[in-house]
Amino acid sequence: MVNGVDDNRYDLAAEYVLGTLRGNARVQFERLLREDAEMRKRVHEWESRLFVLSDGIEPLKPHARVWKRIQARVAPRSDMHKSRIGWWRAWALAASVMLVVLSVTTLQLLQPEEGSAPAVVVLSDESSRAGWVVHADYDNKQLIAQALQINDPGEGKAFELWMLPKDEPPRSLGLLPLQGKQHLGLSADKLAVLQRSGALAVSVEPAGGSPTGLPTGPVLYQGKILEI
Amino acid sequence: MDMDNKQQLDDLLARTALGDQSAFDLLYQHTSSLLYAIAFKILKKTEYAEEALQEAYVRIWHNAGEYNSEKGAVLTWMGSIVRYRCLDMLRKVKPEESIHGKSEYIIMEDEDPGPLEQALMAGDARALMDCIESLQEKQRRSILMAFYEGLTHEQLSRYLSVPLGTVKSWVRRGLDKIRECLG
Repeated sequence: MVNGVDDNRYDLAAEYVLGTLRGNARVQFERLLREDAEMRKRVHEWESRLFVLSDGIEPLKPHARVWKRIQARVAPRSDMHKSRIGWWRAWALAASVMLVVLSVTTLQLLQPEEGSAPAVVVLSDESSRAGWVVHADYDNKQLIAQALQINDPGEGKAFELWMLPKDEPPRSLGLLPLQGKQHLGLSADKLAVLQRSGALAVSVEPAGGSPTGLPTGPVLYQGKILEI
Repeated sequence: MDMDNKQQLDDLLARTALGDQSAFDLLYQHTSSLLYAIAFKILKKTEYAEEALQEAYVRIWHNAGEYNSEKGAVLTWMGSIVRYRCLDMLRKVKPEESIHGKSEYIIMEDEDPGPLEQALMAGDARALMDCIESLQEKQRRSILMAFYEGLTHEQLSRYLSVPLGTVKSWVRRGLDKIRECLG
């Protein structure tokens, strides 16, 4: 009956996305989704299949009051953006707070489970310019690095991402993209090192990555690991 | 929507995840007209559609950091948040103030091909449209009405004047065929 169950599950994901799964069944399915990564994947597949239908909908501009209400709801965070310096100051404060939180959540990080708080690292250069944002996706055992504004590392060079565990040498997480996104796999071993690390750093290396397993070029970007 | 550049939406959402209000503002400017139209088609009332849109964007602001490309394109992810919020709201509307009045169904009776035809023109929708066109007419209608209007099996059954079980099997078989067709 495994196939039978699978088929049935597939239908549920499709009908959830289409919207015909309703009432208590919908609520129960959403509960199941929180625990079932495979089912979430199916839901996302169906979203990608069906959402193209929306291409055909004539856009309709919402009244300006909607944006004002949204702004009012997100205002507490937006206050931090009145100046860039203010933002970074707030960010640095958050970073130091999160270092404490990190040590408390070590056990959770060792055994990542569904719903682990996602972590984020902003890799910035000396002038606080953000080069990449890295998100930890523990459910899928990977990091997702999104390039923001990167200067070319030079002919035959690449940017390599490193974990900085305390009292241990840096460990490589792989090469970073110059644009777009890159998924970097997290083995159990890397995950354990990551949870001993308070920060990540980026060095300039030969195109294929450091030949020695340790950073050989200048470290241009760094960022502390924040849980969000 | 005047910006269909996926990379730009990716960047705006990534900056939104960092709490960048100006990026969120741009993200709203570039996506809200489509998402509002989606909400309005399902909810039919300005008041409800505005509420759904508002709730959805607040959620997008708070959850931007959880997005990754495995969840589909940024616009798909955002649009799904809006659609699910609308479906939640339909659930809470009391039967006596049912949003889906008969008059709405009569408009559907015209078989206005508007959305479908326009979707046909969009390149990345072509594959799905080919699949949808290959469905039997009843399967196709059930699926499009459920998607665009947020109709339940029961509402589809009443509107199409066929037993509930029949509608359920049309929807199910239609979805199966779409999955097979798109691979």
